[in-house]
Amino acid sequence: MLSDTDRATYEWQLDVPGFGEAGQAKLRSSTALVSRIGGLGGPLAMSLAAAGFGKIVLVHRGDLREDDLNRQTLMARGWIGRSRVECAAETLRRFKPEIEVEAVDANFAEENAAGLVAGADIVFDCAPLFEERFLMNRECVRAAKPLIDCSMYAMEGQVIPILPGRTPCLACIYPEAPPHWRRRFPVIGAVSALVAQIGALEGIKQVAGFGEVAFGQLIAVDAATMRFDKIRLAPRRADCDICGDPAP
Amino acid sequence: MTVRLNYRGQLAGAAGRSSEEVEADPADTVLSLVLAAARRAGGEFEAMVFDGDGAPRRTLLVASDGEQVVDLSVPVGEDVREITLMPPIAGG
Repeated sequence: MLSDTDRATYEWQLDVPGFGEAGQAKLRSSTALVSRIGGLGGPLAMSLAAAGFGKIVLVHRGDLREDDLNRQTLMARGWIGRSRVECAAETLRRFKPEIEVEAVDANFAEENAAGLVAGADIVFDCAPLFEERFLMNRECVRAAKPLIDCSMYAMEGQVIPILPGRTPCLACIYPEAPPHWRRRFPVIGAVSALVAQIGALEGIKQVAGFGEVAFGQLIAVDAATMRFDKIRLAPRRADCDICGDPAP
Repeated sequence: MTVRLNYRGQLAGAAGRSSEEVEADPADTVLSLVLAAARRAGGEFEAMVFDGDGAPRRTLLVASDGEQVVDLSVPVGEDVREITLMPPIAGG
């Protein structure tokens, strides 16, 4: 049931075909988990707040650095040295005080993974390290929670919507961490924001129950040429360590 | 026939280009095209695509005209326009 404030706030999107009050109410009663709150997770979380998710949990350890400011648009220069997740939460709370924002000043790890995923209706993976990404994937498979996997490099981005039990999981697609990946990589902030919006939209559609989520597909963007592709992924691997069929 | 090979993520930098066109026979395997591309580019590209035993890395996603190819020993096939090599990328 929407409040008068909800109806006034979301008037423009309530008229989107297929969305309506039912979709808005689903967002209002849902919790999104976003890990981490950098160039991808920041603008993604802002769009989830704009859309009207009832609760957003932000997961990120570490303080804001000057070289974050080309892409981390929830931040401010005067906040350098402050906890990044607290800064992000402050920006979201100022934008939408009626939304519950929880800031977790830690990264996704074995000790907090199960609890974080258990409290979420949907998880957005924006982490730079494959150890975190695989852990998020494993927990989402265990808990049967949808996972929107977002990534970027230079002028490119990818979004993979994952629905455990139905689509290939991240470990089906990439069975191991790539040995050549480096934590520090090139990217333009507008690219991270672009990829973030695609990820946010896939999650909004999934939770609100309208449109078509690109499950089983990899959405690829090449901003250098403005080419958008959808790669149809192979089915789940029966021998996947994470989501495969149990041994007889 | 002419097939466009697209290199995504770190592979584009390693190859020094984001795509190239090659001549292929429909009976050629996808693996043979990937192998030839790795030999042309050498060094870093080759190491990203093949492991120390010369097998394709399990982290390499290959797509043929928008469909993931898991078994690279399959023929390229008729009328294929492009093959894309995508190493994993992440957030930040």
